[in-house]
Amino acid sequence: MMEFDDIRSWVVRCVRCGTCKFTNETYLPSCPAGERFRFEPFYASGKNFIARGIIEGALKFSDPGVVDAIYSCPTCGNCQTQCPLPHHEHLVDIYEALRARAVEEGAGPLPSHKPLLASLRQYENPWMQPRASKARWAKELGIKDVSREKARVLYFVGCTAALDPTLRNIPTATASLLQSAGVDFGILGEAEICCASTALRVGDRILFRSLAERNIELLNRLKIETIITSCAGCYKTLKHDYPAVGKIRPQILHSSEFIYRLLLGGKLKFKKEATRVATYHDPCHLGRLGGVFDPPRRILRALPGITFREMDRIRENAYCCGAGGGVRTAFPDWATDNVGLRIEEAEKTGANLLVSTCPFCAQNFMTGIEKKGSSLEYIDLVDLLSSLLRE
Amino acid sequence: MEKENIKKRLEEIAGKEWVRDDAATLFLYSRDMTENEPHAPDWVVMPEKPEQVQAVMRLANETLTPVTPYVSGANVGGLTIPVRGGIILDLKRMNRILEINESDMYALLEPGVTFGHLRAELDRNHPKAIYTYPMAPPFTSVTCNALLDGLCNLSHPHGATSDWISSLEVVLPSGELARIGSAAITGRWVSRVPLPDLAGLFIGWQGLTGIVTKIAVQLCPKPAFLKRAFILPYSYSTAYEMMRELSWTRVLDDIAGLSWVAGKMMYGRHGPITRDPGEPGFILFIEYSANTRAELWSKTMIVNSLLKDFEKKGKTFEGPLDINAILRLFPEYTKLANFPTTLDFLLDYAESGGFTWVGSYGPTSNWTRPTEKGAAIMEKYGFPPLFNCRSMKGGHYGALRFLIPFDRRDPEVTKKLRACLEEICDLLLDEGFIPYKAPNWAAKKIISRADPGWVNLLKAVKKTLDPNGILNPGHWGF
Ligand SMILES: Cc1cc2nc3c(=O)[nH]c(=O)nc-3n(C[C@H](O)[C@H](O)[C@H](O)COP(=O)(O)OP(=O)(O)OC[C@H]3O[C@@H](n4cnc5c(N)ncnc54)[C@H](O)[C@@H]3O)c2cc1C
Ligand code: SF4
Ligand code: SF4
Repeated sequence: MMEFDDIRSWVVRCVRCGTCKFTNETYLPSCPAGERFRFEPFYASGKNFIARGIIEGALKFSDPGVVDAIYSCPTCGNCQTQCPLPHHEHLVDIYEALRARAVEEGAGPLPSHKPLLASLRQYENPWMQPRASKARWAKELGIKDVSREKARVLYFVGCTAALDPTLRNIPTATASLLQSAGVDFGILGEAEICCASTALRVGDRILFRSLAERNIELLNRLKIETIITSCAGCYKTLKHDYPAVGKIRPQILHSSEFIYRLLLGGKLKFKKEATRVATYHDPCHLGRLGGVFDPPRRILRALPGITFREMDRIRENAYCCGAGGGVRTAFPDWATDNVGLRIEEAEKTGANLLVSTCPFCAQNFMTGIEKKGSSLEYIDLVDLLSSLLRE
Repeated sequence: MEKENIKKRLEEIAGKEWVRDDAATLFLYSRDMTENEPHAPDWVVMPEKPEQVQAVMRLANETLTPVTPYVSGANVGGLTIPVRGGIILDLKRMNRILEINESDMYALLEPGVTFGHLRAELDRNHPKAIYTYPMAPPFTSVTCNALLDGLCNLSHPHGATSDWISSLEVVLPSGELARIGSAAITGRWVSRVPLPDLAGLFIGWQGLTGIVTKIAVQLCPKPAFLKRAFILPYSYSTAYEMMRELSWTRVLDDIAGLSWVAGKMMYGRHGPITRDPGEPGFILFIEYSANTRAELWSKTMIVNSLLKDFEKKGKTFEGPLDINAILRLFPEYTKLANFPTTLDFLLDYAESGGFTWVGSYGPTSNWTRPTEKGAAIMEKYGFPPLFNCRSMKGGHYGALRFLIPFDRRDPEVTKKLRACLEEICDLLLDEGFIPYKAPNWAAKKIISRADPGWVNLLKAVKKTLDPNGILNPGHWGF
């Protein structure tokens, strides 16, 4: 997370060479925003130059097209992988700092983002649902409430998986898997506060900080050793963005990392096999921006009966599904069209199962698969794994 | 016609979402990486088909609106800055590879196809064919490069990329469509001969006479064996003597060089750069290929024996150093060993996104003096003497290019830079070299020295093709 003043010395490094527009050496599209809108402002170089224009006084946030370009970006960070110049590692920081300044100046976020932020303020989740709903999925599953009972591991469920009924399999499968491995874990239930990724991504830093500070205080107060999350967005925010606000004492792991350790420790016993061909989509916030590429792949390769095939663009080069950075809220059609491109890439592998590890990607993939009438089945990695542990 | 009406008509032609006139878009298309003054267009339009290009040209003629074609804007000469406003025609959506003909060895491309995409298509689906690649960023247009007489890694045997053009399809300023070369007669895109070579009406013109909507460029068979080596001569004169003599052996696919400065930049040096005592002055790279090991061996013998002769003459140099061996020791050199490439180390030297040059073509018999003088001019103005050169078309002419990464934030630097570029440009012209991809200020210098008959013909061609002066006005001295 960078402040607007800190991006000044980085934005000027962009020469507009355009190398970030496609993947290095394989020359496949890398930038969902550029692919959709094609005009220069929408690529990484466009946003760098807009920032430069604003810093130099040639552009204002209120100028037509400025806010539009800044927010038409899922902040997927693929440009960070492709750009060969030293500012590359700060590109997403630059876009987020631009958004934060736009919000400070009253020009951002986009109108469609405002209800999400209002919901975050009112309910501490972006889905406009009362706090009590967050614990509903766990009813009668016999899961500890870590705000009352001691546990070694906190499963930080995240708002999307907890509140979207179509994604209920993610938390239930994660919980059942942890139970069958004998992990001493619990959840926060209705006391769980949103990680505030949404606020950070759309530029409301005041709201982000206030929720992050409360979360840090709460998570440090609990007597837990490890926090695991099944959401790529929560993972990136807790692990990589929170340090700018404060330190979280317990270690933070994505569920795929934790489960991979269980698998290595012989804690999971498969009872079935699935004769399916699977491919894996790296969620941007877990892979490129979170640094976790291998555990999900190793798990998939270990699943009995599963044949694993890679897509053309993987790991750091993985093409974003298009849901993040507030895009799915503000531009739902674009998000669906964009995930369609990724679905086509997945289909090309010959897979019939599309596996990923992020509830937000899941929503987008499920909409996209339905719209395209694709025969692919989307499944979360933990859901797939947990299904093979049952008779 | 009112601006709003023009916009409406453009939207009817290209579709509403492919016309933009918001401040952010106009800002982005008003400038490039060079020192050339920014100027905003009024609209940016992204056509998808030649018919839409034709319709835009008809409208532009009717309303006397300037049109500047654009693909990536990375020409390093301000050539896509719309100095009289009007329409930027961004051709990125016209990016189809229409045909790769392995039998007749050509590729038929739309103007938005980039080197990266062509390379990927050839590597994936036509591994027996290769094209020629510049040191330009990978996502720049093959068409633009050819129309700008680009210098690439197979320019030594085959000449500038304009020599690789075998046929064209062009939208004229009037909106009419014309085919050039064999495509016009037989519908096959194989050659420009034996016909009056109308391609010359569009090559080197910086988009002032027509908008190319299809280009056929020749491909080459991929050789079975390839050898690349670095040679590090200590003096510029030795380097050029070597380049010329190596050219005449007729065995090389590429002979090019960069001054010692590049080696230092490759290791991330910023700020003042000085040559260490005893440091070679040049990084020469040579490449040759063969169908068999025996052929490769014979070529190696020819190169080595020529270099032995140089040694005997007392010329000092290091090498030849096999590139693969160097890469194992110094992976940074990969940037110079595989194309297309990104010269990020060079582009970032001034840490502020500014990059410019004066590039030129001229007689190889006079390579050394302009190089030495040009390098001295750069140093006088406080810029490291970074230049590169390449032997073109069997050594019949050579490229000489002075490159300046500069600090865009400092107006004083820009002032100094302009003076430096002008001085180098004058020097090159004095020494028989002609600036290429010439920005308007350099084009004016060329025209002021040109034979009046040539200038009159140039003007007459432009007047005939573009009587209303709507295509790319304010460039090439027009
Ligand atoms: C770091 C760096 C290194 C480079 N190295 C080399 C090199 O080694 N060799 C080399 O040759 N070049 C080099 N270049 C220059 C340049 O990138 C290439 O020539 C490139 O191919 C230009 O493509 P573009 O898409 O950027 O063209 P643009 O800048 O978009 O356009 C170039 C010109 O063509 C006109 N134009 C655009 N489309 C059309 C059309 N369809 N019909 C007619 N006119 C049109 C434009 O108006 C403009 O005048 C380098 C550039 C950089 C930044
Ligand atoms: S962000 Fe990096 S890769 Fe993209 S145009 Fe700028 S310098 Fe080039
Ligand atoms: S973050 Fe993703 S969508 Fe945004 S500019 Fe970079 S590559 Fe494009």
